[in-house]
Amino acid sequence: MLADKQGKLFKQWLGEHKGLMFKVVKAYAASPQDRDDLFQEILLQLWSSIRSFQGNAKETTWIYRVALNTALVWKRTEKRKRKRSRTEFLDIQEISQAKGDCDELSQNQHVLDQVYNSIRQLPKSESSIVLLYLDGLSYDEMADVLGISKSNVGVRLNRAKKKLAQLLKGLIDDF
Amino acid sequence: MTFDELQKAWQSQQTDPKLAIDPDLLLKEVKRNKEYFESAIFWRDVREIGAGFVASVFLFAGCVFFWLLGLKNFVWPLLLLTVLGTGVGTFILVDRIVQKRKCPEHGETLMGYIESSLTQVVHQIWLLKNILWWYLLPLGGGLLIWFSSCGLMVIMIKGMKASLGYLFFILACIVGTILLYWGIYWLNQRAIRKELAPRKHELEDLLNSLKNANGI
Repeated sequence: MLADKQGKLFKQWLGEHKGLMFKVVKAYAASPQDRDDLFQEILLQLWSSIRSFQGNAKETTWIYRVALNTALVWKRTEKRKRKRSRTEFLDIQEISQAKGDCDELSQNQHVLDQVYNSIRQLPKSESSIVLLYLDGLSYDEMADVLGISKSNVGVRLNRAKKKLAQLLKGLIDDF
Repeated sequence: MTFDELQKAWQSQQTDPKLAIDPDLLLKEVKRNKEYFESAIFWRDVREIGAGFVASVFLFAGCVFFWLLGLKNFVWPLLLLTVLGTGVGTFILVDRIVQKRKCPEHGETLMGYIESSLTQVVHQIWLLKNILWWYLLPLGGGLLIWFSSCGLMVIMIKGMKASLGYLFFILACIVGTILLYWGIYWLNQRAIRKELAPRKHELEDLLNSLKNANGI
């Protein structure tokens, strides 16, 4: 793949899917510094992965794979070591675009913060399946990202949802 | 709240991170960082493997030098050390090339990626566990043979009494080599215990949790 084509695709993905990547980042890294680190790492891996992207998988599936693979093997200690040898090029800030009712928005944000906290407490493999579920991916798409069968997705998701409901006791009354 | 409602709330969240710099600059920085890492890894390999081959060339030159001086008894242990050093360098080079090909792709499925990462960690553990056989013993053994043969030659040429000073020096070299190699061995085994084994367990757990739908 030509470098300029690679660059164009990278910018396009960054523009369209940075929210998706950031959700993964928030689900795996708690502190702002760790989030910067993990986001940078995902961007670096995404850039490298573009060369092997041949369009066989959907763009979102590919980006989920890259983001989740990076997040799953990402270690804070490793990052600190690597950080010393590279330029910090990111300073991400979350912006809440206040639309609609302010109280409702802050209530929603409070709930979501609780959800992110709970996801971080789940085993890593389960947190990835919960993320995909919450983002509205179908079982087929989840199976495609994770590399497991559709029936396995169902079983794992059910178990993960039960654990999440336990962690969010009082908020979720499905289970 | 039900899970359906949570899903809706999740999907309506405003998670557009604000990037402090524009995409063009970010792209430039990503490229630059990637190039930096690639060149750092390349030069690390060149340093580690290249140093071995350069040392082998010098050792071989030493063999020729002793041969030309007529000190043929010094040649064979040095030649042995050269061959062993080249062998170790070649082993590292081939291993790096093979492992580079097996490097996990970030676009793989989660399961495939974890499997590839686990294979790499298992290989690293195998390498460090067996460092005695492929690195320390060939090089250390070669060095010890070289030092011992030097000692023998000195005794043969100068006699026992006259060569005591040389012998102490050679003995110090032998002890130093053994201590250095023991240190290298200890550091590598520590790396297995502290870093690689926990990493392997973590990846195995991840893999098992993805594989076993019934938690078996």
